[in-house]
Order: sequence, then C-alpha cells, then structure tokens
Amino acid sequence: MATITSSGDPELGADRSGSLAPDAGRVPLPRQILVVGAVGGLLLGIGAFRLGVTPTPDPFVDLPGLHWLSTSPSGAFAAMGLIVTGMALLVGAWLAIGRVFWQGRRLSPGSLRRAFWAWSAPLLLAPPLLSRDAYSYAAQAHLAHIGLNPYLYGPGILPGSVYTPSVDPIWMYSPAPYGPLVLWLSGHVVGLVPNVSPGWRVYLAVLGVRLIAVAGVVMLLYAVPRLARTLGWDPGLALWLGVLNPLVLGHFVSGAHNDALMLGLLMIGLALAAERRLLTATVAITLAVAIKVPAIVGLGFVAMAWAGTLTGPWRRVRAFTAVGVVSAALFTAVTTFTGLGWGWISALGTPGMVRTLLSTTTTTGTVLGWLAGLVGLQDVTNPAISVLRLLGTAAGVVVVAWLVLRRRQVDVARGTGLALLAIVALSPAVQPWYVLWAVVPLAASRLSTREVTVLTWSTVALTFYSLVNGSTMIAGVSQVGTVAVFAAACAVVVIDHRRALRGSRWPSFGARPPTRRDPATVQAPVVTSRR
Amino acid sequence: MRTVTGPTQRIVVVGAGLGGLSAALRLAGAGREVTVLERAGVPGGRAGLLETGGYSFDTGPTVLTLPDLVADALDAVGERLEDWVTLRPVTPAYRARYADGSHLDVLADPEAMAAEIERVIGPAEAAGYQRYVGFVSELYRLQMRHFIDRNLDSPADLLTPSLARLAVLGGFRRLAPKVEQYLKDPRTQRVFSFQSMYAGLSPYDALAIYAVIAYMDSVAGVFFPVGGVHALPRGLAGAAVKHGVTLRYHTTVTGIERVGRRAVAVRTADGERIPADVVVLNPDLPVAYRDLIGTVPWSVRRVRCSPSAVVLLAGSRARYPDPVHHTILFGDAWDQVFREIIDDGRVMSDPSLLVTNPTVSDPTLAPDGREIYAVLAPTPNLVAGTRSGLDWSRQAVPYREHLLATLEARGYPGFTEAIEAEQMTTPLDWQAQGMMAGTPFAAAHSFAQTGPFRPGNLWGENVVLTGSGTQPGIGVPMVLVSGRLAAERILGPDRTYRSRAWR
Repeated sequence: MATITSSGDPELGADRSGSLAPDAGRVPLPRQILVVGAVGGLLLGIGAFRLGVTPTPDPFVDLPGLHWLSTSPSGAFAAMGLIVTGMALLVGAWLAIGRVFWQGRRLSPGSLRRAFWAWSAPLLLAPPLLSRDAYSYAAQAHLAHIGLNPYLYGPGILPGSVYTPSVDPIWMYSPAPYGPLVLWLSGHVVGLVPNVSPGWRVYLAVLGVRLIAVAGVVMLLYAVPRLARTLGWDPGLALWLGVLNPLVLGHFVSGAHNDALMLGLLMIGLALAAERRLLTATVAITLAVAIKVPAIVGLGFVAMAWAGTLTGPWRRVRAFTAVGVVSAALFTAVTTFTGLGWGWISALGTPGMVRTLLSTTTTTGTVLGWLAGLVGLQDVTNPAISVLRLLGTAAGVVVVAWLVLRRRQVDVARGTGLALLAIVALSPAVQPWYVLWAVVPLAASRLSTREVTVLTWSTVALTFYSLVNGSTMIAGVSQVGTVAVFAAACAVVVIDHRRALRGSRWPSFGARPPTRRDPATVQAPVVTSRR
Repeated sequence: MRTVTGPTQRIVVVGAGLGGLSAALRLAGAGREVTVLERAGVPGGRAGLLETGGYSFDTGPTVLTLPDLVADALDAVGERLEDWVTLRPVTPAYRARYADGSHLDVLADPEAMAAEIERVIGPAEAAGYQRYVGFVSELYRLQMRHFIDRNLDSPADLLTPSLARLAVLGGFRRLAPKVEQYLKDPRTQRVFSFQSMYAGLSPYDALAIYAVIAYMDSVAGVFFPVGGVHALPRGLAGAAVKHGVTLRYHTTVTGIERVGRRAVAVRTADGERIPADVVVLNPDLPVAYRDLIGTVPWSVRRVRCSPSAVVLLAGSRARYPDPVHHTILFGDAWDQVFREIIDDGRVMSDPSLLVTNPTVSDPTLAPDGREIYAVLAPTPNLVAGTRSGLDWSRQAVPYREHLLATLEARGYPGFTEAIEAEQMTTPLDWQAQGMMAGTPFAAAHSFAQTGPFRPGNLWGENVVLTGSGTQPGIGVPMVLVSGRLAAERILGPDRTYRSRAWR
C-alpha cells in the first residue's frame, strides 16, 4: 500500500495556549486521503455482499452482477480480498488524517464531514458487515409493528415471519433489551416496507433500521464538533477521532447498531449541557436513555453541572432531584406514548447471555475456570464468571458514582466518556462497538497527546478484531486463514503509519491534562461557542 | 341455520389446532372472551413440530393450499397475512416419478403444465388437461361457496341451483372414470386423481366432486411457509394472543361439565374448573365425544375412517440431484394399491410413496448442508388392519426396512446410510395421540360422510365442534373453514361474509 503523505507547512501548528480560534487557518482535507478512504469504503461495500450478513433467503444471488460473488467459492475469496484491502485502505486513510493533525495542521470540519459521507456512501446500501444484529432489530421492529410486544416475545414467536430466518439463533427467543423509543421508531419504519419477495423485504427493513442508526450518526456529525468547540478543543480532531473513526463506519453505518442513535442524542445532550442549556440537555439525554440505557450516566454529569449553577444548601440534592424528576416524567411519557411498557428493564440481562472475549470479567472467569480445570477442579467456569460479573458490575457502579460525584470535576464529555469506559470495561458482555460509547464523548473532550495516541491504536486494534470476529462467522472461510490475513493487513497498515510518522515531530494538540488548571470545565466553563 | 342457545360471551376452545385457532380468531374478532386450552406446549395440533438434532420436522401437513383461507381468518381480527406468515410458492407442486422411469412435474400455471404434459406425453393429452382444468375450476367455484364454506343443517340445504349444475357437470359420477374422460394417459390420470386418497378413498370410489382437491393443489398452487408448516399455527396463535385470546399450553382438558345437553364448564387434568358459556371442541371427533362430552351419537359411531399412513421423518446428510419439494413415487400397481390398504387391510405390496424434501423450500429447517425428508406411505387404518391381522407393534421395524429398500431402489441411493435423525410414526402412534382408528385423516369422504351427512359441528345446546372430523372435512383448507363454520354456529350467520377464496 502506498504511503499517504501530505505536504504542508508544519508552522500552521495548533496554538499551544489551549484556545483555538473557530475556523481560522483551517485547511481542507487533502484530496488524496479522501479518495483512498472512499476506495476503501467501496471495496468494503462490494465485499459485504458476500462476507457481510445477507438476508435469508439471499436476494442477491439472483442479481446477474452479484451471482458469482454471492455463490461461488472463488467469490468468497474475492470478497475476502475486498474486505481486507478495503479495511486496510480505510484505516490507512484515517491514520493519514491523524498524521495531518500530528503535523500540527488543523482541518476544516466541513471537509471531514464530506470525507465521512464519501467513505460511508457505499456502506449505506450494502448488507451489514460484522454483526447480524440489524436483522434482530428488524424482526423486533416487525413484532412491535404488528402489535406483539418485543419485551414479551422473541422473534421466534413467529417462525413464519419473513424476518425470523435472518435472526441470529442466539437471540431468537430473547426479549428486546432496548428502550421503547427505538422499538417504536423502528416499528414504524419497518411497517413501511412493501410486501415484495421475502429476501428483498428483509433487506429493505434492514436499510430502514440503518436509516435510524444513520440519523444518530448525523447527530454526531453535528454535536461532536460543536461540543468540542464549546470545550475549547479542536472540532476537526474531535470529528476525526469520534465520527470518521473506522469503528463508527463499520458498526454504526454498516452494522446499523442502534447505539448510534443513543450516542447521537447523548452527544447533543452533552453539547447542550456544556452550553449550560441544562433542561434541554436533560430532555435529549433522557431520549437517549429511551434508546439504550447506558446513556443514563450522562444525566449524572448534567445534574452536577446543574448543581454548579445553584446557590444555597443541598445544591447537589436539589440538582439531582430536578434532573431526576424531569427525566423520569419524560421517560414515563415516552413509555406511555409508545405503549410498549417497562419490559426492557427485565430484559437488560439479555446481552450477557453470550460470552464475549472483550469483557474483562467474563474472560477472566473463563481463564480462571480453565486454570482450575488444570489443577483438577471441574465446573468452576460458570460460578467464576457469575461472581466476577457481579463484582464487575458493582465496581462499575462505584466507579461511575465516584466519577460523577468527585469534587474536582472534569468537563461533561470527559466525565461521561470515562464513566462509560468504566461501564464497558467492567460489563459482563462487551461487543466491539460498545467501546464507541466511551470513544465518542472522549473524542469531544480535551485530550492529551498520549490519550489521542491510545484511542488511535485502540481503534485500529478493535477494527481488526471486529473484522476477524465478524468474518469468521461466515461459513466457508477458514478461521486460521482469516486471522492470518487480517493480522498481515493490520501489520502493513501499522508499519506504513509508523514509517510515515518517522521524523515528524509530535506536536501537542493544544490540550493539557484537562483536570488541572483547566478553565473549560463545567463548573467554570469558557463558552467559546460560535454564537 | 341452527346456532347455540343462551349467552355466548365466555368461550372455551379445547385444542389449539388449526380449526380451534381459526374459530378463536373469529370469536375474538367478534369481541368474545376466548380461552384456548392446549395440552401440548405448542399450537398446531396435527400440524405439529418435532425438533431434534438441529432439525425442525413438520409432523403433519407438508404444504399449504388456498392461503386465502388463512388470510380470511386473520381478516377477522384485522391482521394482514404477510405480517404473520411468509408464504413461498412451491414450484413444481409435485414431481410425479413413474415406475417406467419417466417423470412429470405438476405446475400450478395451466399454460406451463400443458407444455409439460405435451413434452412428456403429447399434444392431445395437453388439450385434455386444459379441459380438465376448466372442469375442476368450475367445480371449485360451485362447491366452495355453496357446499363447503357453509353450515349445512340438513340435506335440504343442498338443494340449490349449484347442485343441479354439479350434477350436470358429472360431479356425482366416480372420480376415476370422470378423469379418464379428459385424460387418456395413465400417468396423468394418476397424478390428477390420487388426491382422492387425501379424502380417504380410492379414485374408483370417490365422487368426482373430489376433483376439487386436484384444483386446490394442482391448479390454485401449493405454498410453503417460511419456517415450515408449523409457522402457520404459530402465526395464527400469535395473532390470537395479540387480540386478547388467552392461550394456555400444557393444559389438558379431561371433561366437560354439563347440565343435560348444556355445557357449563370444562375441567382440566389439574382439577381446575373453567366456566364457559360455549365450548368449542377441536380434538378428533370420536375422542371429543367419548372422553369429553361423554356420549357418542350414532352419526359418529358409524363413521368409517380414512386409511392411515406411516410417516418416516429423516434428517439426512444426503442431497439428491435436482431436488423438488414433493416427489410422488408411483409404483407399477395402481388399483391394487387401494384394494390392499382399504379393502384387504394389508400394506402395499408395490408401494406408491410421497417423499417431501422441505429443505428445498426452506434450508433453515435443517443444520447447514443437511436435508429433511418426510416419507409418507399410505397404510390401512387400524380397523381395516384387523382384517389381515396387521400388528404394527411387530410390523414397524420390518416395514421401515421395506420402505428404505424401496427408496434406495427408486432414486434415493444411500438413503439409509445418510440418516442422522429419524422418527417413524405408525398407526399405533396416531392412535396414542387420540386419533380414531389410528389415522390422522379422520372420517373418509364417502358420499354418506360428506356435506350434511358428515358428523355435524353442533351438539346439544352450546357445544360446537371443529376440525377434520366434522364438516366440511379434512385438509388444512377445510379445517380452517371448519373453524369459521364453528364460529358461525356461535355468532350467527354473517350476511356480509365474503371469503377471499371465493368472492
């Protein structure tokens, strides 16, 4: 792969003083990077017709242009090549943008938004990569549409539904663990699908589900740079790290996970909170909770910001009460309006039914069980996992409470990001896209160079992990071969990036460690919004 | 039309078979409080489900015809068929394979079918087929509205202009000679008259009006629900629950509490007493009368049952070239087959078999790369079997060997070797499930057991029956209709009713 280098004047470097003027001195994204990323997106989009998750029955096998790709063994190899190359180009282009920042230049948010659409356009119409969840969403939405409560029934209740055969058997009889708002929304979207042939009907429903996720991404494109600007952080860098991120393209655009809409609403809420519009922030974040529950931690930071505006005794209690009352009232109203009830509460354990490698507690439990097996103790794995998961969840609650309530406050984005990171790190089940819960808010907050570096490499690692994890489930491709090919591609991208970086200096991003002497916290915000 | 007497608000339906569900949907749509009690853990009754080794076997019907009748049932609660069940056409509807090695695909499209007949047999036969299609289509049009989808209280109800028209068409001649009038080749004769077996009769005994079955599956088309036939009762049950029907599984009804000829409650095996204004019974008719009502009327006692069948369900590693959903393997013998299983009570010496390969239509019913085969062999029912001393407790194993050997020799080499999950059902097993004479095909459709002469669907003041044993008869379409007829006995005639299947 050719190294993407960008010539430019390093003297345009970020202002070390910490305050960034709105869009002055910004350069557009170099065209070469935009094109390489777009080619990557296109290759991924084409490869997805074979190695993405296609509906059952697969409607693409009948299309003359796709028949070979969809059916023949050589088509599987070709698709593998497309996916590996596409992801390498996409990640490479993304890292190349990072190098532009590392060279100290600032990119205009507009050109980054355009790059986002250019890269993700092919993925918008292709089958989902990496996860079958979009098909579960479609089936649950169908249940909601015809009036069967998805909190009471899994898709398996209707084996004859056109959506059921495409659902992952693991979730066939599981109730939906999502909030009522997203089920209501997706129910209405899926209700619009015309009665065409089964495969196409399912596919249209998945595109409808994706539309909801993309709506969340649109919110991110708007809210992330706005929040960053308010907090005195580079909006372009925030967009790059938080939205142009390959994980967002892979999991939110292609994978159509409803976490996108949760994060979109959450980020709008945080942007409003940073601007001290705390009531509307509470409303936005409550709607995010009505999509998926983890957004609830954002309310804690909004309440703390609220407390900062109050005077007199019991400030925190009053603030938390206010946020709590507003939020509970709105949530109850949404629940009543959708008519779906409170069943999601009991369904929250559903994602924990699978063992995910990324969950520290589950994986530790598995390893402990294996070690115990070595010394002759049998059947330790399940109890070990149960205990560790319980401890992990409890620890998560403690960490979140500490982050919310500690005296020395950080800004809302950093606080929410760290709290969600704690939740993910200690959660009983972690899917790769859960990490975005933390990455997106953190991207909008003032990060140190080291933190940007850590998030960058985590993104690269998780992108390739997601691909291996998501592709090995496709029959006909050997697991060892897949891992080897992806490892090789990953190595090429990393070596290329390191080589391109060699010799370039590592400027600061204009951020100091944000907890110290930092004016841009919630309690004493420096509102540098563009109004 | 006779109806139940007294209040009709609280209705208990015993059995969540297709008849019971069809009735429940209509009753719920009319605002009644409906409780369905089902002894199994799933709905469907004879359209049952067997899950084993990663395979989902349909234990009952292998396809669906006249999906409009399903849509009718869902219409009653304002639901759309495509939201609950996804149907895919089965093409060809059948492949008939003959002993001489030739084969004929039965296609629902008459033009395509005529071309197929011309390819296999010749243009004259194709022309005869087209006239035959005209005949069965006319039969369907006349029968469906006036004789099938209608509650008949007495033979006098039959006296309509349509009856005269049926007579003129030759509907009351025997089926076999009537078919011979149009079709001259034994291969087409067989493929368009074997359906009388579904009605429990040889084509030489069945009336020509039963050619209407040939219309339903060979002209109107055959469909397979996504997720197997069992997805159909699941969908209907889902819609019923959505519309307020209480569906209780694992609840066995042990009897009906009645005062004189009026039912007041049902009792369950757990000792629970569930009061009811009206009781709808979906079990096999003789069982419903004997075990639940407690008296068997003469019209039921005299019933002659259809032949039975042995069904071999096989989950298999084998896939055969150019597979189709339904294959009928015709033996060389024909009239002898009917003599053996109906009159002599013996198993077929030169068997004709129906081999269903549902994974052709929906591969997800089996694990990846695996196939499901359901082999149906007509056999005598237990009553006929006594004539030859047929004892399934001893014959089951040798008969399985005989079936497998037949399959191996007739186009399924390696069939036995490739089986990895299996269940064989004999007439004794059907009997254990509560089916009279050990047959899943209920009372035969002889003239004396057809229309108003078939056991009625109303007993006493407020007990209504539904299912294949009562009117109009057997088969998924008829059973769905029987549910509507049962509901009509409770709700009274609906003058605005227009079925999608005949309007």
